[in-house]
Amino acid sequence: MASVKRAYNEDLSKRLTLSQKIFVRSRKGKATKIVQEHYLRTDIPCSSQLCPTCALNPPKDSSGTSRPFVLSSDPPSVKSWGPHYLVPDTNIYMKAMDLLEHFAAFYDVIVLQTALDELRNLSLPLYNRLRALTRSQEKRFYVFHNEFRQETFVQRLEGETINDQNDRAIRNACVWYSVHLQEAVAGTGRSAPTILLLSEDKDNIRKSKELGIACATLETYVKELPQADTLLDMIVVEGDEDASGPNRYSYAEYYSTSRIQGGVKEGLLHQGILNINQYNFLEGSVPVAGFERPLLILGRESINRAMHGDVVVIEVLPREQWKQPSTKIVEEETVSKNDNPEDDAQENVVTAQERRVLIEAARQAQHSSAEFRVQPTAKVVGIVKRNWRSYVGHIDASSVPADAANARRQSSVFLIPMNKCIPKIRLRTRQAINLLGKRVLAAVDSWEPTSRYPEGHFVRTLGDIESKDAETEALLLEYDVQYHQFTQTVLDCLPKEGHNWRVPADSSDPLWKGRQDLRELLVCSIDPPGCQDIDDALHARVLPNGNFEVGVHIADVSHFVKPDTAMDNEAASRGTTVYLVDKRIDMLPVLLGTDLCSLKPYVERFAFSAIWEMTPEAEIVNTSFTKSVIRSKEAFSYEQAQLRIDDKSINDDLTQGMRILLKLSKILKQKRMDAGALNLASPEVKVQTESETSDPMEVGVKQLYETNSLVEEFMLLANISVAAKIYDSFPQSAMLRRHAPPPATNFEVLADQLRVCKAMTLRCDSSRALADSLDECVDPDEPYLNTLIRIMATRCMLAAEYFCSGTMTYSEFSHYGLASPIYTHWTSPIRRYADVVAHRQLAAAITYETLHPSLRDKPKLQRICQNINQRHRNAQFAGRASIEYYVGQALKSREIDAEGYVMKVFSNGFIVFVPQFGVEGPIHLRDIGNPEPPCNFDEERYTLIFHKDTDKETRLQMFDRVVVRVETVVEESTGKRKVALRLRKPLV
Amino acid sequence: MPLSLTEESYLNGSLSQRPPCRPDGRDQLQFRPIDAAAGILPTTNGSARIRLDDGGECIVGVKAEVITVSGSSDDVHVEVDCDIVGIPANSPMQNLLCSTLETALKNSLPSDLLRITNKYRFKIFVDGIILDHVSHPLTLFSMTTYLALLDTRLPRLAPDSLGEQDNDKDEIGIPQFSSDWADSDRLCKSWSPPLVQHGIIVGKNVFVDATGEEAEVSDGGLLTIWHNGRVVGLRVVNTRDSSKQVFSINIIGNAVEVLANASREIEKGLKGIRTS
Repeated sequence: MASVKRAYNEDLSKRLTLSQKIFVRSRKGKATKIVQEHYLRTDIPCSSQLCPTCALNPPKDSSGTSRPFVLSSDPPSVKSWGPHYLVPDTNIYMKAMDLLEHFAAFYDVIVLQTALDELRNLSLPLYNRLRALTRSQEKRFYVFHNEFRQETFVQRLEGETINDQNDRAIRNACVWYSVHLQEAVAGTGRSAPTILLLSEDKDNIRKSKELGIACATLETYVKELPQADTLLDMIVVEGDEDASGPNRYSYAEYYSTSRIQGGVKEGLLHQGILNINQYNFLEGSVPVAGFERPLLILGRESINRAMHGDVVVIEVLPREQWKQPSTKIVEEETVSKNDNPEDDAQENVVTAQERRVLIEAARQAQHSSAEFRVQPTAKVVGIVKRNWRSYVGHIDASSVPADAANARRQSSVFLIPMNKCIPKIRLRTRQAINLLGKRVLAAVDSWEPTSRYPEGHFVRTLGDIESKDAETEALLLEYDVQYHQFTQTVLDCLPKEGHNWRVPADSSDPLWKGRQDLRELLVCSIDPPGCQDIDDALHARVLPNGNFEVGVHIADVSHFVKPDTAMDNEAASRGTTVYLVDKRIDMLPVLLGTDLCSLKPYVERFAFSAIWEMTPEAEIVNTSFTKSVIRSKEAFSYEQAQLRIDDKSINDDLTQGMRILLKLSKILKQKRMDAGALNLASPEVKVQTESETSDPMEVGVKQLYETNSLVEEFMLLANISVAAKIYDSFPQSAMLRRHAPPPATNFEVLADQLRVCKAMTLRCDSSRALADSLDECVDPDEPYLNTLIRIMATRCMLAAEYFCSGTMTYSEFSHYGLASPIYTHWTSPIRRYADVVAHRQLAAAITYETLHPSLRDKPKLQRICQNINQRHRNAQFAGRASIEYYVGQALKSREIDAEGYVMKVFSNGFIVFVPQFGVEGPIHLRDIGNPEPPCNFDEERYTLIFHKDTDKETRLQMFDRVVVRVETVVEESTGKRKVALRLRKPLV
Repeated sequence: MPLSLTEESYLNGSLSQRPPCRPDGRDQLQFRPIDAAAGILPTTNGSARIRLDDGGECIVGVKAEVITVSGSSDDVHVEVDCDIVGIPANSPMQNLLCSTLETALKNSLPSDLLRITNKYRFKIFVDGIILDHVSHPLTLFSMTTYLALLDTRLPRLAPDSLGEQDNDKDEIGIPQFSSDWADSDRLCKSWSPPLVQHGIIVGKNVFVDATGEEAEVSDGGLLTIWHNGRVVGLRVVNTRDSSKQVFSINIIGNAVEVLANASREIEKGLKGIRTS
């Protein structure tokens, strides 16, 4: 049977021509031939506001709207070319994305589809950045789909390479645009803007000139712009220069992609994320599936140009090269090339079979605890994914050549990143002198095998080193915190009434539907002092039957933040609010966070309530959840609440309620501890700042009240109850949080240290055993020791993580630290996105509303979890870094003696932890005496023996108490003001 | 419609004369005109369509897939499948078509043409459909397959896919292919596909491209497999449902020679067709 396809619209079919594109997709060793067909159109607009023709009949999308025209009728002008639209070639996007993003130049840009597609194949991150630019309206970037328009489509010629075809397509589009704009302005008396092709490809430029297209290289164009020097520095460099230079260096080439993929598949090579040891930049480790312990990567040669966080492929080295992990503190600054042990080992030809035997031996070696000190090592043979981002650092003054002051001369300098795990980056800049003493943001471009250091380019300066703004921005950038202002589209999602928004007075209002009126309950909130974003409030009262009714009321954020809106996407991407010492980077716009959602006292607010009926023994009789309206009676700080509870003379109902809460919370806590919950510790200090200038004044250890634990217990209870409920309703897509039990090997070193130094045992077969043995680690003479051990044990644990219930089995849900079989986050929706998701799921579970489809979408939830896990971690790091900075500032120009504890012993120094300031830092032997005192390092006993003043012998062991002089210095390697410790005397 | 006894006897008589006389006046070795085109299915590695004068039509697509093999086996991996419209699947006719072609291809295709590395091979899938046929479909199917194979291209490895210095590349390397389709290699650069020729025997005469009626009055059929300028295989087939099909053994030598000549001509013709 024959069928004839007839276009229903004669007119349309006349305008459409078919074009075909054939290519091969090569994945997992397969080769698939792909054929793409598309219709060529004549109605794709030029998007210039000068053009009346295209504006007549612009293509419409499914909702019947057409996009506004992007390119300005009055584009920027330079001397040589006058007003112009830019058409960058693909190589410009590769080299100058930072430039294109710069506010000072590059407006009215025509992004050709050909170049965009090419860019996507070359670099996905750059492609995404360009896409973001095309979406932002202020830069006026327009994507012209030249391959879909009949006039600009080019057919591949016989024998023509794809590159040549693409170049021709770009030239063709330029010609079309020039002619098209000439026609557009004809008769108006205006002159059409020049179409200026930017390219670095000499051949393309030559051919363009033959066609009469205006074209320029990046450099010639940028030189016409104001601020040319700054802009030129931002161009990506190609790492070829020092190939012939005196400091020629040679790393091993990476294995070919096919060999890497094959090797990983066969189990001969291993893939994982590289972590660089923060105390020793020449030591890295890669946790790899199938090995109990991470594999060690030692030395520059073995690390082979991989950087902290990169996904690498590694190969196990021969047994002779297995080593103990380093016992030295090594900083990049102090290592000269001679100290760096070159791996001279013969590159043997190893067969696959031999390699399998070796890998098995490596596994054995890790397993046998007797020789757990000699560990298998490996080398990096390939990089699957670079984790390169922009790095903050400062210019190494010694690397700036003497004649750098000579303006406009480009010189190579080193940028020393703040993060010690990142190697120095070579930059080429014309402004070396101006950059000294500044915080500088730079991007890494490449790392060729012939270059000892990676090549990068300057992005911008953040300000002077140690200035508060520069340092704050630096740490936000370092931890990838999104701190830009909320965009207008996000703000448009807020209620129009702004701060005047009120809970509708009339309870027949649709907003009241499904809400319980709990305004009469005696609800109060307890938070840290000065807290503005109040997520939670509590109440308790006695029921007629002698039981208690306890309620946890959480800000109803999901009422204001609806799924799949701009605000929701922004919050999902930020993931969490980040708290710095003097600053808060909000997840939600401030109107919601500190006002409309915040459960402020004396005003009516929407809330989501969890209400339990409990026996006096804190047994739960009944649990219910409801959307509600509450009116908080009071907002307490922890201290105020504690005082009020303790004050016997106050006996009003609110205070009585708080006393009930306190009593129940103590029972709940005991139950949790009995179940094996861990009582862990982290060094928490608080920095008091002067309220106006927010200059740091005082550093102190955070004080904890019983009320802290009161709030915590009920939040845990609420989270556990909600977790069970949403898992029950949505077994595949519930947003939960888990804490995996740490592998026993994580505790090996700590347990051994305790056994050797303190004759204490640490058992870690279950969280209960660990909790109990931690309780027993008490030394009557050292009251702080127990806390210290808890801090160290915490560091051996894995991080808790969010996950989507469908991706794990029930037994994997359990939360190790809390000893709860299931857990989620529900109580802080203002500052955590996971809680927003949990709110929506709970609302659907109690049939308050229907579940938005995106909350059933498992892959999407997985992506959200991945992102918020990352953001959550970074927020913690940023918060700690901020405290560290302020501690440094508070102690500036002061010298204090304080007690500290030895936390780690190396053969050339040790790490001391000072609880008073929550800081830890290295003490090098070389700083104790000059010349460096002779020493004896007893690794088995974690003891360093040295002679301080020629005669007296000093022995320092793990956990020893010492007195140290705390002062601050600006660390040369990172430019950070850091706490520096000097040994005063050991207290043994 | 079956022939009447009179018709049958008349036709048989005129075909067994020396020289014979075919109803349409053709020579013994003369084919009816065919209409052939290559490269008609863009998503395949190679394809062809041939239409006969009597309405017979066949389309063949060739696909090459990457497979892994264990050890360094020299097997040639080819699979031939063919649907014949109007005949149910797994019919004797379908089996004859597929097995003949598959065997012919496996025997003639050098294994190193399909070798990528020690572990990876191309496997060739030949898929055909005979949309209509009046005379024996095997020659039609073989010619179309021949043309499709001439049209077939295999993706080439990307330049940096398997580095030279990799000692164990053949053990563990996973091949990476160039994404440019123009970068592919012709399968038939140094190899010609086999061609199967169907002939009928009437008395002492041999005919190629027999019409349905001619086949019905014949004494039997013969298949020859032609490869590299000579006949490399032979098979006797029935041309009608009768157990009485017998022909003299003396005729075979002559028949093979006749069919070889026909194959040589056809091969020449097919090679002149423009492929993609």
